[in-house]
Amino acid sequence: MARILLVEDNEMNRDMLSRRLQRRGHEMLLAVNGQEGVDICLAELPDLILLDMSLPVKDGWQVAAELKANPKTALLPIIALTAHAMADDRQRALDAGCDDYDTKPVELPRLLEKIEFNLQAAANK
Amino acid sequence: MSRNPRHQRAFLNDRLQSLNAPIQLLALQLHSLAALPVFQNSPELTADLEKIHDAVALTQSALLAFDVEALDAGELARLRHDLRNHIGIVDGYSEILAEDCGDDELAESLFKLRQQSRVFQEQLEGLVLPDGASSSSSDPIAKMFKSFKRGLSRELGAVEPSLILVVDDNPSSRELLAQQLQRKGYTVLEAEGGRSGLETMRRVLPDLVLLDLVMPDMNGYDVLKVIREDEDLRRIPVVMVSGVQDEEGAMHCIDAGANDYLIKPVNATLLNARLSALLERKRWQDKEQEYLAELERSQKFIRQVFGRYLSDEIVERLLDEQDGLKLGGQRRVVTVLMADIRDFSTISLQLEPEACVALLNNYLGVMAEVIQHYRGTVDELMGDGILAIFGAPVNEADDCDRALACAVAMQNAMAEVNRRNLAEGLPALKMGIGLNTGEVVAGNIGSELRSKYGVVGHNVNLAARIESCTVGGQILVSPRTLSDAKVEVVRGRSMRVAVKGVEEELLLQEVLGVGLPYDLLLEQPQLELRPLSAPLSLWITLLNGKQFDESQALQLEAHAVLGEGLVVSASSAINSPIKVPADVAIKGLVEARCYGKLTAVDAEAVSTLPSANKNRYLLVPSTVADVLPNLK
Repeated sequence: MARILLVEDNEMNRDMLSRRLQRRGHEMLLAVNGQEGVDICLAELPDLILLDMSLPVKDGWQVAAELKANPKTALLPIIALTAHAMADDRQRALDAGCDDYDTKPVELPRLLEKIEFNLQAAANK
Repeated sequence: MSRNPRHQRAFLNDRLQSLNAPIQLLALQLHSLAALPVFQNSPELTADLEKIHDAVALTQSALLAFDVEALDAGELARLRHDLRNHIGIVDGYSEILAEDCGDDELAESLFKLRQQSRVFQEQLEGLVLPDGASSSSSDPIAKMFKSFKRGLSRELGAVEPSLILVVDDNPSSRELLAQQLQRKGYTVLEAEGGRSGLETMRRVLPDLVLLDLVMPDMNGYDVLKVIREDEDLRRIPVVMVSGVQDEEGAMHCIDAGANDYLIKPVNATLLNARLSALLERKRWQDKEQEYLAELERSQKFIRQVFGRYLSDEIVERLLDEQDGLKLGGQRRVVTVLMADIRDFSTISLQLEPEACVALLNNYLGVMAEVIQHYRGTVDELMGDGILAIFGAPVNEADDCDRALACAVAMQNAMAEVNRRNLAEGLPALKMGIGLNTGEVVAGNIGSELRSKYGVVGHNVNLAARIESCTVGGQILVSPRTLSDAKVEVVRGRSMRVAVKGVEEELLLQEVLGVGLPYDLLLEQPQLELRPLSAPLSLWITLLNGKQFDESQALQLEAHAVLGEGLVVSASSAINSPIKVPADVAIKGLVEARCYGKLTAVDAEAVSTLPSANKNRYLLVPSTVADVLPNLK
C-alpha cells in the first residue's frame, strides 16, 4: 500500500482520517500545519498528499503551489480537502496545482477511490 | 417560495427541526450504546465513543445556537460546514469503533447510528434559504433598505433627542464636548473614566459614545473591546476622540470596531456631521431589531401551535394561507390513529420513575419516527398513548392508506422498542392500535395564550374506543377506515362490538397487513396451541366501566393455552353468547384477582381441540407473564 502524508490542523479530523486509512493498509505521515507539511514532504517524499486547504502558518494553496514548483516534489499527487462543497475552493485548489480534490467531511469509499486513481495516474507518469 | 421573511424563517426553522429529529435519535442511540458491556474494560473504545458523544453534543448546540432571524446565507453556509464536520466525526469514529470492537451487538448498533448520521447528512443538504430569499437577504444593503422602508411608514413622527455619553478623564475637554452637543439638541451624559463609562453605558444604553483614547484607569481601546464583546452594548456606535499625537492609535481603534474617530480640539461642524450620520444609522438598526423581535414572537407562536412533527410542506402551506393561524376550526375527514401500551399503569407501578420514563422514551422515540415517516401528525402524547392524525392540517389522497401502513409498521417496530427495553433491563411492552376515519373538527384549540393544533369530535373518541378493544399486538379498524382504504388490506378476524355513543354495533376488522406500495405484514409468531392436561375452572366477571358485580360471575373452563391467552368455554349453558371483546376480572388463575380481556378465538387455531363446546373464547390475562408459566 501507499505512504500518504496527511496535512490537517484539526486534531480530531487528523486522528480519524489517519486511523481509517491505516486500517486499510496505508502508512500514514502526519503534519499539523502547512509548513510542517512542506518539510515532511521534502524529507519523506510520500506517495501521495492529502492536503487540507485552510491551514495555519501556510495555507493549503501555498503548500500546493510550493510543492508543485519544486522538481523534487512536483510529481507527487496532491488531493485537496476543501471544507465547503464550494466550486470556488475546488477551482482554486486545482489552479494551485492540486491533482484532485475531495470535500470534507470525508466519505471514505469515495476518497479511497480518488487515492487509488491518483496513485495509478502517478505511477503511469 | 415566498420572499416574505416570515415564511422564510418558518421554512428555515422547519429545516432545522428536521435536523433535530435524527440528531436526537442519534443521541438516544448513543446513550443506550454506551451501556454495552464491551465498553466496561476498554479505555480505548471508550475514548472513541466519547469523541462521538462530543461531536453529537456539538451538533446539537450548533443547531440550538443558530440565529434564524438573520436569514443570512453566509451564516447558514457556516452552520452547514460546522454540522458537516461534526457529523463527519460521528460517522468516522463509528466506523472505527465498529471495526475495533469485535462485538456484533455493538457493530450493529453502530451501523444504525451511521444510518442516522446519513439521514442527518441528507437533510443537511436541504438546509438552505428558500429560493428567492438568498438574493435579497444575503445582500445586507437590500435587507437594510427593505427594513428602512418598513420603518419609514411608521416613523414619521418626532424623534426623541439622542442620548450621548462622553467618556473623558479631562474635565475641560469633557465639558467642551458636552456643551457643543447640548447646543445641537442632544442629551448628554458624562463619565470621567473608562470603568465608570462602562457602568453608565450598561445602565442607560446610550445612543452613541464619544470615547477618549487615553485615560488613566482603563484606556479607550480596552473600553472599546469590552463594548464590542458585550451582547447588550455591542450595537452602540462609538466615536474615538484623541489628541493629534495619538491619531495613529485612534485609527487603530477602527480596526477594533470603532465607528469613527475625531481629533481634539473637536471641530463642531465635523462633530455634528459624523454624529448625525451615525445616529441615523443607529435608529434604523433599532427599528430593525424591533422588527426582528416582532417576527420572533410570531415565529414562536407558529412553533407552539404546530408542534414539532409537521413536515416543511405543511408549515409552508399553513403560512401561505391567510387564515392559517386563526383559532377555531374546520371540518375535515381524517384518519385517526390511536395507540396505547397494554396495561401500562400496572407496568408503571412496578418501575422506578426514571425507568418508567426511559421505557416511555424508547417507545415514543421509535413510534414518533415511524409516524413521521408515514407523514402522520402526532397530535397528542398522553402518557403511553399516542394520537396521530392523517389528513390534517393537509389532506392527501392516501391519508387512510398511510394510516393503515403506519399502524402495521408501528406494530412491527415494537420489536425494536422491546430490544432496547430488554437491553436496559426494562420490561417488554405490547401495544394495541385502533384506527377510525371520519369527519372531525381540526383547528387551533385553546385560548389565545395557549393553543395547539388538534382534532376533536366523535370520530376521535371512537378511535380511542376501538383501540380499547384491542389486545397487545393487534390493529383494529372501523368499517369506514376499511372502506376508504385504496390499498389492499390483509384482514384477520372481524368482530361486532357495542361502542358507547354509537347506537348500532360496530363491525371492527382486525388488520394483519397492507399491500403494495407498502407491502407490510404484521410480524407475528404462529401461535402455539397447548392443550391443558385437565380443564381448569375459572370465574370471570364482566367489567362495565371499572364497576363489577361479583354475583354476576360466570364459570368458565380453560382447555388450552393459545399464544398468550387461554382457550375457554362456559361451564354451563348460558342464555346468550358473551359480547366480546369484554374486559373481565378473573378469579382462579392466580391467588388474587387478576384482569384480562375476553375475545373471540380463531376457530382454525383451535380446530384440533375436542369439539365438546362450540362457544369458545380467548381469555388474555393482562399480566401474562405472571400467569401462563404456572399452567405449563
